Amino acid sequence: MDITTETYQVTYDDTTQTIIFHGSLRLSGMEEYTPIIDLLHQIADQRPTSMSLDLRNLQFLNSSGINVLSKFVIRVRQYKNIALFIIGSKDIPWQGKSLKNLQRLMPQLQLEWE
Amino acid sequence: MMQSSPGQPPSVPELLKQIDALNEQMAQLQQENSDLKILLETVTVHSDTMEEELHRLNEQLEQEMEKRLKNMRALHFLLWMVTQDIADLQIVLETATQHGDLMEQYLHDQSIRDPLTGLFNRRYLNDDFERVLVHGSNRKQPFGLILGDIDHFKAFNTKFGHKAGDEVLIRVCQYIQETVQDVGTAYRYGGEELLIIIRDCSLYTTYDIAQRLREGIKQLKVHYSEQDLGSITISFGVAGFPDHGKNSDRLIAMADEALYQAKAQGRDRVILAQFPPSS
Repeated sequence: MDITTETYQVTYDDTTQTIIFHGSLRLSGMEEYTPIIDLLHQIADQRPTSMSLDLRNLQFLNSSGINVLSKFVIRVRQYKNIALFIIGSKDIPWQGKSLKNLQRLMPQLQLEWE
Repeated sequence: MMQSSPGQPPSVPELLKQIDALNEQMAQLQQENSDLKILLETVTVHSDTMEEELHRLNEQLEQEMEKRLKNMRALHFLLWMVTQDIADLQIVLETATQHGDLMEQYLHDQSIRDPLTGLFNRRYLNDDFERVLVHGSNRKQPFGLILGDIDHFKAFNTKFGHKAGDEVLIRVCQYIQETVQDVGTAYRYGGEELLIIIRDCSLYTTYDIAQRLREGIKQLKVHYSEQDLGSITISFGVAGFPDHGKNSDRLIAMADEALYQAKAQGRDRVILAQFPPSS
């Protein structure tokens, strides 16, 4: 369930139900994001009681990437019974504003900063 | 017609006549009775039919109402879904736009700043210098130029390693940036060469600022891996607009020459560029 390329890595830790992002996501358009979208959906569709996205090491995310995250948050919200956590880093400038916006899509979303 | 006198019984013909009249009356009553029976039966049957029809229509109406209510509920739900989708899309759009702006700013910063020290890079200096020159020329405002080079940096790198050298660069640049941020702009000009433009400032004030920077840098305590890296010194060459030139190449060349003199005279000093013979 892991995706590894030269510039980024997305791994799933099933013991903590955490999807961990590393590197820079600069994929062009939603089509190139399909493997990541599929991975996210595959995990959410198992309807875990909670799941986390660990973005502490995601240095760069382009606009298509934030779209993917936004739509994923909407999907999880529609499932109604999954507690979603996003772990961000205060040292990465884009995360502060953009991750807070995701909370507007799902007010129950819990943001944790490190 | 002959009427019998009072007190006398009616005559037979009279009686027969009365019987005939009564018979006729009875036949009429029987006919009316029969008609009324038919009418009653017709009305009853009609009422039953109407009642049945009304009942059927009522049931049909109720079913129709139920169906319409169901449709209305479905439409309300659909409307709620669409409204929710629109609200979501607006947030997604705002998020993507704001995120795009942030990333654009981040990439712009990356393109104009030196990643190690955070100072503006040489490419940005080229653009910025032209703006400062135009400003100085138009408003007839002097400005100063300080070119600095950390003393013995290569030997220092050899002795302590490149990572320790990076640490020194970071600390020196941080100090310079904090010190001049209200009066000028600092750029990483080359490896350990730094250039500072002091806006709207005379040559001699620029010289004083360079001296203060030199003294401040000498006081810095830099450590790397818990190792004291010792005292850091820096040499500066100072030139000013318009005294030493009116274009960037000339001004930098003059500051560079002064810096060379500072190094040649033993380092850890500030040298003012020589004035051109005409001034």
